[in-house]
Amino acid sequence: MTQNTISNDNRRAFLQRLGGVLGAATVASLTAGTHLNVAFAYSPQTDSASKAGKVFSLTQMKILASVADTILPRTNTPGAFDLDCHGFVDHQLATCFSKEATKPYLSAVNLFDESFTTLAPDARQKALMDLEAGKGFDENQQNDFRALKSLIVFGYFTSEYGASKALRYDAVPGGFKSIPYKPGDKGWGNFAYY
Amino acid sequence: MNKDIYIKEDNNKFDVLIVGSGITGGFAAKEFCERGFNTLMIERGRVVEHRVDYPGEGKPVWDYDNRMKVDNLLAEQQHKIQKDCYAFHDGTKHFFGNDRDLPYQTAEGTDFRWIRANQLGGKSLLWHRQSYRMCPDDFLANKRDGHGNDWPIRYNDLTKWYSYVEKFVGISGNADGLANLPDSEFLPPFEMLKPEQDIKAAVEKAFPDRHLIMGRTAHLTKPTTLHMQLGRVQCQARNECQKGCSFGAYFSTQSATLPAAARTNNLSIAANSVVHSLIYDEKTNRVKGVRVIDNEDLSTREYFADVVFLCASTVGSTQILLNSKSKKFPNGLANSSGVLGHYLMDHNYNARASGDLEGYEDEFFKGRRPTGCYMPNFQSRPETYAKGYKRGYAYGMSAYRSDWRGMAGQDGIGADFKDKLTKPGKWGAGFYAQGEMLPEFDNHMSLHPTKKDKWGIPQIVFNAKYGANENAMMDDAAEQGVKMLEAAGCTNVQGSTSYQYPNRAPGIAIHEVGTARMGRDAKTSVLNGYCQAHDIPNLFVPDGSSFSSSGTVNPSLTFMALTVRAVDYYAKERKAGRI
Repeated sequence: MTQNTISNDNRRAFLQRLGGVLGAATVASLTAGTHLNVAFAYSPQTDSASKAGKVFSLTQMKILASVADTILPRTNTPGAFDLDCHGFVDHQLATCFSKEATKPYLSAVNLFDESFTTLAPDARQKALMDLEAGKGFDENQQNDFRALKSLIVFGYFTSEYGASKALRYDAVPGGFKSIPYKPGDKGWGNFAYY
Repeated sequence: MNKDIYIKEDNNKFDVLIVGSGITGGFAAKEFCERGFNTLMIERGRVVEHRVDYPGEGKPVWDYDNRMKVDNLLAEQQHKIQKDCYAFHDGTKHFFGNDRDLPYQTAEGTDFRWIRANQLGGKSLLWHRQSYRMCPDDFLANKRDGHGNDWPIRYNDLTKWYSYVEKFVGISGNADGLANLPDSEFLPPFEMLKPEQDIKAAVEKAFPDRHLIMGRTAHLTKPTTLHMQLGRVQCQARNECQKGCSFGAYFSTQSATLPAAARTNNLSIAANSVVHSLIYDEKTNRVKGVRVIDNEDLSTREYFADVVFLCASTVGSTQILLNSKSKKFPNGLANSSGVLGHYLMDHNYNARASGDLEGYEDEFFKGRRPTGCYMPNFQSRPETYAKGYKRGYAYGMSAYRSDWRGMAGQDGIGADFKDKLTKPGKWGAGFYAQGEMLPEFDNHMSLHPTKKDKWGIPQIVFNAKYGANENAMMDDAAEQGVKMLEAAGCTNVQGSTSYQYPNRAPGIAIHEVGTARMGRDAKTSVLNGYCQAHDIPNLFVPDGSSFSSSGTVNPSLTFMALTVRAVDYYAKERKAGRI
């Protein structure tokens, strides 16, 4: 299934929900005039860690994939690697950032060499925790890593799985009201602004 | 929309020309059409059809090319200014102007962020929908403290028009009975959350002159028959309004005034028609029509009518007047006073305070509330002014429960961190100031002597900045915000100002007003209290350029009330044979 088809399916689903409120005739008119530009669109890949990216070299992609999967590992839910967050970060830096603005992210990946990817999961986790705590790293390096981590998290929770399964996705809430929160309840997966 | 409504060449004389299709142009069109006037609405941009041309609507974030972020090259090359607007993203960018095609200049040492929305519906598609009446003190501020000229109208001149407009628009809010923020005709308010209720109680106890209320917003929380007849239904609390709303749940030209005007069969629309200047007849001292340049092929054409309503936005309308030169008006049409283009004001959104809120772990919410809370200006009279500056400010305020967007930068690696991000975090709260800007002659816009845009229209040169009064006000607003959050028991409270940053210069509040101000004296003002030019009886400018002072409330509701009042006045004067 191509990204384009996914897009249209989701939009169609939205329009069907809308039909319940507005009537089918109106909704039929909504499907006219919509077009989706997919030329530069990001769509999740399965092999981003085995080839060079648009910004990162093959080695850097392997490191980035390993860092991402250490921050958000696979548990009973998919991890950052499963959702191609590394591929997303590469795409996003190439597309939505100026060259200058990509620098902290490149610096963050360059804090590691390929040996990081061969460490056991526990050792990788400890290495990144040490980095965050500033053990052996200066403040600039900590800040660079924090920027990279934030973009990985953004990639995770704006993916289809992250936004609609890891969180509760509520496209058309129908109204606003306060509700009780019970421990364990998930947060909301969609926002007006990101 | 019926295709016959759109025209291009037309040599017939209309009863009315309305330049612009936003909040004011849409309302002028509705009012004229409903009174039986043969009306032509002139829009410089493309047609945007309600429901059809909202490509960002209903599209999940993961379906966007870049997760709702805008391609950097596109933003840099075509939206260099627009990208600074909070509402600019990949789901809305098509409703913002293309800065490459819409150049303007700023005087040395000044900056201006001119946010554009050049399409049918204008900024009514993109507005933040906050809707408040100006209060009696606002119309007296200039008279009382001597800045600017006295408004020629008072609050009582607008009350019935506010009511009329509010019933049509649909304003959700609570009747709070406050002297400094008169109540509107309300649909039910959105819910104030428990932490917000507690902050309200604590702040009002510590500061008896201050009131925290639920925000008033142009959303149909409970549509009336009037709304439903136009195809508008209840707000679904998506809070993705600026992408366009097929429910018609927030007020826009497309959702409300346009269908109301169109159903009379008195409306024609000339889209892609950039108004170059007004055609003025010196013998009769009347405007006869407008000169138009085609937005796409740059060909020229003219439209004619008995009266012209300029509703092209504050800067847009003023630019057209400045560019309409004649022997009698060498410095711009209806500018015998010489104040046209001067007294440019915007609001000042450059102070904030925020903090953490302990507790409330068992409180949550469903839906995305398209408004926050609001604290009206508590310094609306000279005797209540704070030390060190004049006038006052309002606050937007809300409590929020943090989510992965806020927690992503916190320490944490691994499974526990991942799990934490899927749950709501701690509560926080913030106050966001919205300050008045004094009317100053020196803050002005003019036409560049040589530089032109692609339609051959002289570029605007902005020469305006926040002054010492505005900066002192923001400093105080940040400090007062901190005090109130501390009074409400918040921790880690921090206040800050942002007026020092170029991208927070005037214009970015998108409440620009004042460049064709109204007044009683034709020697010192462009318009009278009916937004009618002192110099030319069949020329009206009921948009924000008519304001004598900025006040502190979001201005759109007042634009609408002034517009309806101006149409009513013209219709009666014409019937009586006086225009």
